[in-house]
Amino acid sequence: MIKRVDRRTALAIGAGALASTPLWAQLAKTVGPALTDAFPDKRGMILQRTRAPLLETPIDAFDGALSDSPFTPNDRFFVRWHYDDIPLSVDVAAFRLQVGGAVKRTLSLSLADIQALPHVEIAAVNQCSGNSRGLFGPRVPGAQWGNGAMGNALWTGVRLRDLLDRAGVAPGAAQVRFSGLDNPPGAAPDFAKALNLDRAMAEDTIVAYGMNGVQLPLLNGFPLRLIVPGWFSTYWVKALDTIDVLRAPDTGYWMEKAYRIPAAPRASVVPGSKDFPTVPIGRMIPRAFFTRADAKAVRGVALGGDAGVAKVDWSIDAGKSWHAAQLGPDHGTYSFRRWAATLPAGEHVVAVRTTNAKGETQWPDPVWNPGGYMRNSIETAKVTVA
Amino acid sequence: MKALSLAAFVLLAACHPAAEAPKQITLTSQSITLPVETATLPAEILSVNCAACHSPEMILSQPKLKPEQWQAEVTKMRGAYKASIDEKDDAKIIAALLALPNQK
Ligand code: HEC
Repeated sequence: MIKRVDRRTALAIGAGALASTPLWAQLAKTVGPALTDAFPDKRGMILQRTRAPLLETPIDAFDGALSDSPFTPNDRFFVRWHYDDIPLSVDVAAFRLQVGGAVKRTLSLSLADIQALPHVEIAAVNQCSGNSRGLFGPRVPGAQWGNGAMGNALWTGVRLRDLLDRAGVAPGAAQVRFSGLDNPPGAAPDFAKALNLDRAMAEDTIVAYGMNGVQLPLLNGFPLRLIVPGWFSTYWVKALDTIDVLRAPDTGYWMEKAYRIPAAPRASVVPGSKDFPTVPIGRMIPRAFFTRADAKAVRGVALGGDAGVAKVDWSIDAGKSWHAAQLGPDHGTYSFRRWAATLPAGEHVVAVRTTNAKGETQWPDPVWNPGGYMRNSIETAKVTVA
Repeated sequence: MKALSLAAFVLLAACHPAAEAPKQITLTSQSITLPVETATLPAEILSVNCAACHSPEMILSQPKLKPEQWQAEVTKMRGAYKASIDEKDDAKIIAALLALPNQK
């Protein structure tokens, strides 16, 4: 079933000099830039775009033994902003989070007000909707991410529903819309995302002020970021300063026109298709990645999507038979789970796939859609085990 | 007051199965400076029309696109993001985009 390791897959899992070059530069055979340390509080990142910053995490930054922490260090965590007017300075004493719209009382909360509320911690993977877009075939326009537009962190914050309950959601409310301190150029539409009320009120939807035990880097959304575990990053609004309860679904550009996927199974359509029914992107689906595949170790990280990782399997016979990989400690439903495979001696093309607690798994054939979203086909690597 | 803060403490503790006391995250003001951009667009028609809202890598990083796909991008910049790109310049812009090194 898995026919070959194509050049791009091989490059995507490669280590060293090649992995430090963005995929687009690798494919164009240009001399790519080395990993960049030029962005504040970031090091060793793949530069996709300087303004507004798009920084990708090199895949080896996720690598580790089964017992190693599965959390991505804040200074290696990917960065993705849409508009170039992003917050470069935030005064914690002056900052306020506004909660308004269809509520009984509007709130203007200081960071101290928020930190005084009961706090929760949750481990969750933050994955860009367009993660792996650069691996689509036929290729599609947009940021040409490899597999590193993702990261896993322990988020600390307050439940969104605790904030909404304080404001008192008015009867007839349908959605909750979120926006942050970034500003659009000229007359472009404000970046805002909306969740249905039930997702907003879910107990694991939080407003985070902590990322891996410390405040967030400005580039990752300091001082507050919406965390929607199990859902794609487009909803994880950075530098969150406005929450609006809506009586009708949001009709803004970023919900109605952007970040939409085919309604078809696996969000996949025939390449080149237009005018098919779409829905807003939402929950994530299972994926397994190689972080290392050489004579010494074949291992990686897995995510279950909106359900936990139940198992990770590997195959060296093109998917005819599958074997259970070893799993690292479980950090919760939405976290990365480390996996490792012990292969017999020989030259192999090894495939790896995750199955989540709902029984959803990965397939060898890649999906296609014009946005370059929802890639979760089975990854393969070439390895020789002595 | 006492009872309230005790209740809050119990709640906090419940979120931390590990016996240690919850770590308070201290928030301090931040300011950063972003690096200057170094990539440049090789044609003036592009640097004039396409560099206002994003740095040149947004364009230089694109895979090989067909003329109609580039036209769709230019139309999208105008429609979705309200870029003031004169429609009369479209043909010249598309030609310059197709002439970019990685588009050949
Ligand atoms: C008014 C602002 C503005 C101008 C001017 C502008 N763009 Fe964009 N462009 C954007 C925004 C906003 C995005 C989306 C950025 C993101 O999602 O990170 C974008 C994204 C893109 C993308 C990525 C694919 C996509 O559709 O998201 C391409 C390619 C692109 N622009 C090309 C161009 C070209 C070519 C020009 C000049 C003809 C141009 N842009 C001028 C605002 C602009």
